[in-house]
Amino acid sequence: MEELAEYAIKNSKYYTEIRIEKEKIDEIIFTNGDFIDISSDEKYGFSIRVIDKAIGFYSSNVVNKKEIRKGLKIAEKIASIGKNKIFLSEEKINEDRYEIKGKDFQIDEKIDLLKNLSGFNKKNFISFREKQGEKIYMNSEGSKIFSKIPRIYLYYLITVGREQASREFGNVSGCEVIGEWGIEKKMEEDINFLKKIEKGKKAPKKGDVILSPLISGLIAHEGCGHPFEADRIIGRELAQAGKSYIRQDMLGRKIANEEVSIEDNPLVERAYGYYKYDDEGVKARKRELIKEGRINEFLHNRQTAYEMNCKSNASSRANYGKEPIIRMANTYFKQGDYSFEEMVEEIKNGVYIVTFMEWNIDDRRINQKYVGNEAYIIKNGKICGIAKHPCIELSTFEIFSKIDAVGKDIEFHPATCGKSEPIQDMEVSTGGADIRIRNVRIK
Amino acid sequence: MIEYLKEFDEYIIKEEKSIAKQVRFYRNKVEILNTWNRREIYITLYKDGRKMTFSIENPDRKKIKKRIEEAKKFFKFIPPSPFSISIDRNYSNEKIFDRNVVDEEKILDTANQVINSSNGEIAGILYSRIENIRLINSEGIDESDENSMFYISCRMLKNDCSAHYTFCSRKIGKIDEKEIDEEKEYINKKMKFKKVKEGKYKILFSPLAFSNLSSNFADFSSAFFVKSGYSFLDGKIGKKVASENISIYDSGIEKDGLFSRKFDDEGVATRKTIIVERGILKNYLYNSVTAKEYGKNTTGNAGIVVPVPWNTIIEKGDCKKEEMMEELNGIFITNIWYTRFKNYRTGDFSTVARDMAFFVKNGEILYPLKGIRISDKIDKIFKNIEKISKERKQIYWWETSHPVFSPFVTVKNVNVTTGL
Repeated sequence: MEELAEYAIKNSKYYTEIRIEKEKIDEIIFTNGDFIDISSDEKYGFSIRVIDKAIGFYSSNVVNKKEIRKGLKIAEKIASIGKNKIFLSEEKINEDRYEIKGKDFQIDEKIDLLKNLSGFNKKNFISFREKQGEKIYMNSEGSKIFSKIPRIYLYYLITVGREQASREFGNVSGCEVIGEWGIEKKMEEDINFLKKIEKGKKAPKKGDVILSPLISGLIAHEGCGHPFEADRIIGRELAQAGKSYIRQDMLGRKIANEEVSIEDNPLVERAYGYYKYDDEGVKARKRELIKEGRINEFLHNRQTAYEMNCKSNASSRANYGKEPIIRMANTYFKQGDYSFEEMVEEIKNGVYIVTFMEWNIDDRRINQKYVGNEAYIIKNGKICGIAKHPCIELSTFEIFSKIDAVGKDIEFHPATCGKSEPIQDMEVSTGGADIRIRNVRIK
Repeated sequence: MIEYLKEFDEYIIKEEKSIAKQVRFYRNKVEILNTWNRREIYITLYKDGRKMTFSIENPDRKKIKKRIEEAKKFFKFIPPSPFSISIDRNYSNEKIFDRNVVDEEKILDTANQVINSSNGEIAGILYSRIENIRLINSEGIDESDENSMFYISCRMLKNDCSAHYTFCSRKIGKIDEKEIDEEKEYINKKMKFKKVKEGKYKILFSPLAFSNLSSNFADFSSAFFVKSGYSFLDGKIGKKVASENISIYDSGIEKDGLFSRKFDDEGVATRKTIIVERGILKNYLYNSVTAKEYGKNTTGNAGIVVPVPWNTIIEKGDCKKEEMMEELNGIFITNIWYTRFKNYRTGDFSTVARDMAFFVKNGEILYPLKGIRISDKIDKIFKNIEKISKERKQIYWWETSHPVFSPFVTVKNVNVTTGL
């Protein structure tokens, strides 16, 4: 792999990057107690990106010198067709090699796990996925990064009567993490809760809301992470994932209460969005997007960093065989100093939302909606019974300005984030702390 | 290669070779041209009641043999599951094929034509692809197919107004400047936005907006999604699931349909399948396995595991779009996105308006609205369809899972909410 990558870099006349990648994806599916499928996909290919006055990108799964020469020629031709030179921020040249090791389980152990889960109730869909990614990245400035990362993921959708719930589990890890997920317990709890939802009460029309990290993390992702992607700010995603309420000149502006700090950190160990170097060879670091209520930094690749006169913060990530674009990693509300009990005690009338099914947001990332699944009524400082699908539909600014308490414990949940075209589904995580939002409309 | 497979009771081998190009532009300039050169083989093996599927990129005899040997070791651990391959060689191959869709100069010219047609900021993509498929199975099928696709998806922005234009064909095409001009008209209107008030409205959906709902509807008709709890259409065959004004079918043989294919992933001939006829649910989409489970015949929509729609066709109505607009007292929505379900079985969902949406009174556009979210039930939306236009357009973009031939559609009593 290394020799082929070096061959491409040495033979290019412009700034050039090459990724040679191997991926092995294994998946097992069960539904309604029945085994459905076991599949195993192997990918091996290279992607060349040449940047000068335009960007030429060539990707192929024929990996040999002849094909690399062909790809380079095509990419170089395209790179020369523009009128103005594309500049990249100057970054440190990195050479590194990192590998996350994980244990594998026997195939029959994995099948038994899913078979057992699928027998918990009559109607369900369960998918278990393992991805072993191996990659060498090299650029013509001298950066050279070798990485090997395993990702493991389980998803279920269960139907009980007319009610449904879904849940995701995932880490950068081998199978040894499965025991920590507590899937059986969660599934049992979800089934029992679904049986009780029908008898739940309607939430008050107005009140205070506590959101668990499953939903606060989604707000951090949708209402902060996405609009802070610099490529969206400059309009590159206009026709796909959309634009942003953020403008370049808003750095430093107050956008939330002082209690609110939202971070995105690729270096959270074992979190689903973990990586050490991005797909431009830049060393990953924590990004403090909102710091104590103020807009602190955007998510950058080298191209947007140059344009906005700063350094890349290593947000450039690519799916196998696709161009690198700006992505989140692990996005979360930074912990505050409240215990959950303290948050509840101070509420007269409100609701605590633990899990969700439906959510969405407009393409400028302002108009948000989250519909609770597991949720509880809070009255006079106490949790007292099930709330039947409470819904909050608010603007990003209302949410950020009404958060008055953030919990002191944080957790991360896996998610898959869609962006670009053809779509790139990127492994990320969302999470952080519980948050409390005061005095909002509840539907 | 076949010699490695003789010991299996059933097998399917599908080889795909493709070349794809994509021009991406933003801030009115071409920034990147992507090229993808792909060769991949998909293998399904079935022996003693057990099945396994796998794929190999850029395969050669050595790689294939190695993977089959590995698969054999796994077989004893795999639980039994039903599998069968149907045979239907009634191949229709009238679909268009145009090798020129990946001509670099032509697609760059077209991209520049699109950019130059905008009167504001424009961004988007032009994507094209040709593919060759060969499928061999244990029932004696050895067939080849070739497909081409070409589509443009771009968005124009002027001040706070935006409009989205799409063009889809199996052949390289010239953009419809008249249609772009119509989109431009929406963003040229110098009117002040008003926040939408929550309530029930009559809504006129553009083909782009309705394609999103229709692609979701067609996905729900996949028998696999029905059985695994992902569909509000479960148990509704023969029942009313939509207004009697609407008929919906799936077609793998549409001449210019982007996803038309000669055969499905089992080698079965694709065809036209009625999903909804005058409001009544007639069929789910099946592969051989799901068809057997439901006591039906395959509809030629395999997916080895999940039957998939090819092109969703909404039957043309008898109204002119101008008349539908003239009669409207409600909201005209030009685009929607981010459709998500609270419950797939009940069809409770919401979706968010994107680009321009106008409040219309007696056919007159009064002002653009902001903050629109449709929060409703998918079956209620389809049951409340009042009018469907004669005009129809093939739509495929970021927000549809597959192409939809989509008309203008008026729906009464749609629940609109907002977070603003």
